[in-house]
Amino acid sequence: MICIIDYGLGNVTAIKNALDFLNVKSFISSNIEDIQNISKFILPGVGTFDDAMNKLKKNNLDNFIKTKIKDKNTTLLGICVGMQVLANTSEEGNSKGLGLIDGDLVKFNYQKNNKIPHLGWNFVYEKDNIKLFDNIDDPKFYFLHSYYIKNTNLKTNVSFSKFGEFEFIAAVNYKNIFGVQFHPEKSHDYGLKLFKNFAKL
Amino acid sequence: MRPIPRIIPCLLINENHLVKTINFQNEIYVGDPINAIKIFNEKEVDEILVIDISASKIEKEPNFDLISKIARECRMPLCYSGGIKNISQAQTIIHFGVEKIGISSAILSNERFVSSLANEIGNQSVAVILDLKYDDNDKKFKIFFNNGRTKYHNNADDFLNKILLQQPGEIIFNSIDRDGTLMGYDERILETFYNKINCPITLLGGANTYDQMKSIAEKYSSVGFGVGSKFTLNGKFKAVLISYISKNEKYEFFES
Repeated sequence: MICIIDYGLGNVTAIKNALDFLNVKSFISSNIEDIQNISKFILPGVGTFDDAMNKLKKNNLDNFIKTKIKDKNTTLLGICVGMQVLANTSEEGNSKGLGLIDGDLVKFNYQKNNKIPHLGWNFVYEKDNIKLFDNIDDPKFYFLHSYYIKNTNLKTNVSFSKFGEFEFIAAVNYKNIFGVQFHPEKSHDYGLKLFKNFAKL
Repeated sequence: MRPIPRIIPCLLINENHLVKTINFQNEIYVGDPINAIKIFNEKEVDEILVIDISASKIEKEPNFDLISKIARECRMPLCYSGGIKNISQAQTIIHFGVEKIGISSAILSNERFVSSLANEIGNQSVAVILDLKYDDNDKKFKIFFNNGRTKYHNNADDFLNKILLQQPGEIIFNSIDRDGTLMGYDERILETFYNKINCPITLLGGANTYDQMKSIAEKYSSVGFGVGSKFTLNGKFKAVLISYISKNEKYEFFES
């Protein structure tokens, strides 16, 4: 059973639809009492870093996530802003992130032939083995963001994508925490396969 | 490797129906929006742009019921535009599972709307749609609002500068002249505005050949191609046929 955390940001419905399509049991919740015993979570996100952190704090979900993740049996997947809040800080805002992935968010530099935000379909290149990409040939996903995570420590597994000349981290995995900068819930078959892999973990 | 450009079906909605227009007039009924979305899902389109032309009537809220149904059905990124006047409406729509909000007329009454909306949902999710007509006398593009009914009193540049400062995530240029004509994109739009803009651009209006898209993509990066009639109507008699570029065609045109 997967819980899709509804903290007021992000397309919980699209994620639920994808999981329904895969016959993976899931439910949407923002209520800490209801999700105490769940061990697999998805943290979606479409929006700004500060807004995401504020909304998590409002529901006390920030502390909940930080505590729950200490249990090795818990697994968490953060999507887009849901991944970004797992980091330490972001140039986009003033809040502190959850600090569960050691890294910081920075904005893409200006590139003459690549306008910001990074918007559209792009390939993901695996460097370290991240189980989310198992059995996905030529993984390609939809990106929509201006900030990306940087300076992750060496213990964090990463996969990359390329925006113009610029290689950046597209996915992270540290112990029981996963994060993807792109939107698997809007990436057709590639996204479905990724969710399937997450469900199987 | 040059990225393959985004090719984006554009669906026009009036009340609950899918429609098509020519130069923003002569509306014809095309079908059911949800059916079209289902077909586009199967065809694995890059993303979808949905514009509700009935929602921009005064005092009318966006059709939340329809938008949430569309979003629920959509397995690709979705940009919704039509009748969005305030942040609360935009937030509601984003929460349905819509990636981007397209705004247009709202900026007239609230010049800082791009900024204030971006503060709430992020710059990447704010798209500005500019409906354009080329004025042959002035030899300039004029911006129109309210479905082509109201002409902006100043230069297009003037308006564009105001919104660019607020850092929208995307600018969608919708050519009223080319709308529904299948006469090809109006490349004068890029010649006039491309160099002033620092965010991705989408062209809409007149899409016909992949050759033109390829040639544009070779000259201008970060340009997306909005497509209306070409993907919804077919042949001389404009029969309704939902279509999309196949994966093979895409690689053939844009990879070679």
